[in-house]
Amino acid sequence: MKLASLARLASLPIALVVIAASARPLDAHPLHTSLAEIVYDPAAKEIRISIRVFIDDLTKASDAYARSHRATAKSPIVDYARSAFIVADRGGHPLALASCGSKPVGDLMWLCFRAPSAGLAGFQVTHRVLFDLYADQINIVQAIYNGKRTSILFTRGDGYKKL
Amino acid sequence: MMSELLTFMQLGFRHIVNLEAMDHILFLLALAAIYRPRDWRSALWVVTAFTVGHSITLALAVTGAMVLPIKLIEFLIPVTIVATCIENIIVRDRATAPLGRRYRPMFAAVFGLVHGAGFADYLRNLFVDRIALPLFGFNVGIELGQIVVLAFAAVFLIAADGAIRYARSSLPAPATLRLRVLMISTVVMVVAARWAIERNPW
Repeated sequence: MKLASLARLASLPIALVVIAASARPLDAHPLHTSLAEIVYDPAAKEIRISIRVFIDDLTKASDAYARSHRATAKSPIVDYARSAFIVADRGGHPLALASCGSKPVGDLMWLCFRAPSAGLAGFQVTHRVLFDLYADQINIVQAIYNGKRTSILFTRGDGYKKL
Repeated sequence: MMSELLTFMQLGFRHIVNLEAMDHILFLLALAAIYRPRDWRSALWVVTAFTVGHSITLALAVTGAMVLPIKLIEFLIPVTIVATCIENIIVRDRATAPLGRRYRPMFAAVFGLVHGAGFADYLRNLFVDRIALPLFGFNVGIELGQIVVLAFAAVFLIAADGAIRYARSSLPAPATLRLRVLMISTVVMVVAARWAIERNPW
């Protein structure tokens, strides 16, 4: 067999090995998303917020937050969530969200916040949780008030959106 | 309700039209590799059958009707890509294959069952109290995303045909198609085989 024929014969398996070796490892394709629900309670004149985030991701992000805010962070998870999830009133003033606890549910952490408010219509919200961790993170906010339900989607780079 | 539907459609769409979804994109490319531009309806049927397949497992898994071992599913996803590529290479006459023209959509739907299970776990955890509308919107978004990926795949396949014709101008059209199927299926199969080895659960 001539050298050229041998080279042609060997080129295919060599090319395939090179392709296999150069393909980047691929993790299973996770759904990088989190869900927040804002409900207005007219009787109590307050808004209640529930944020559902995957625990492993939240731990990574809040640990990084705690490292960069060593002096102020008392509860890294709550502080991190409050820094990334903000509700602002019609005048653009952020509401002071008080933590009402957190609980693990399956693979998720459910974080609870509340704030006194006279309503929710015309308010603005931003949900940047985990944007610092994943470029393809997608966060969803569902607001329930005045008998209607509104959904808003946030991706990295998004700022405030009106409810 | 409309904003909720649109939001979850966007979630499904962005989940597919995303470079992180390379396993899904390569699977669609492998499915589309055997078709010529004039066969676009067949390609669309196959992709839709795939969506139907993964919608079924997604619904079963999200509602808790079926619990799937996630490590095994993550391993099986690249295995379905390898199997599709092998099918592309070894089956030359699909008209005489079992089930005739329905054969390839059935095959895609069965593999869709595996892919749907891949992200069911994430959705089940998130949407514990309200599932029907988010799930429907998510699936519609996945289908729309797949159509976009299919359109990109078609452009890529036409370009591959052009490159083959440029390199081998004397090749007749059927041989050009065969060479394209062999080249694309082999490359995708090798990449997917590596992922399958990496995700080996045993």
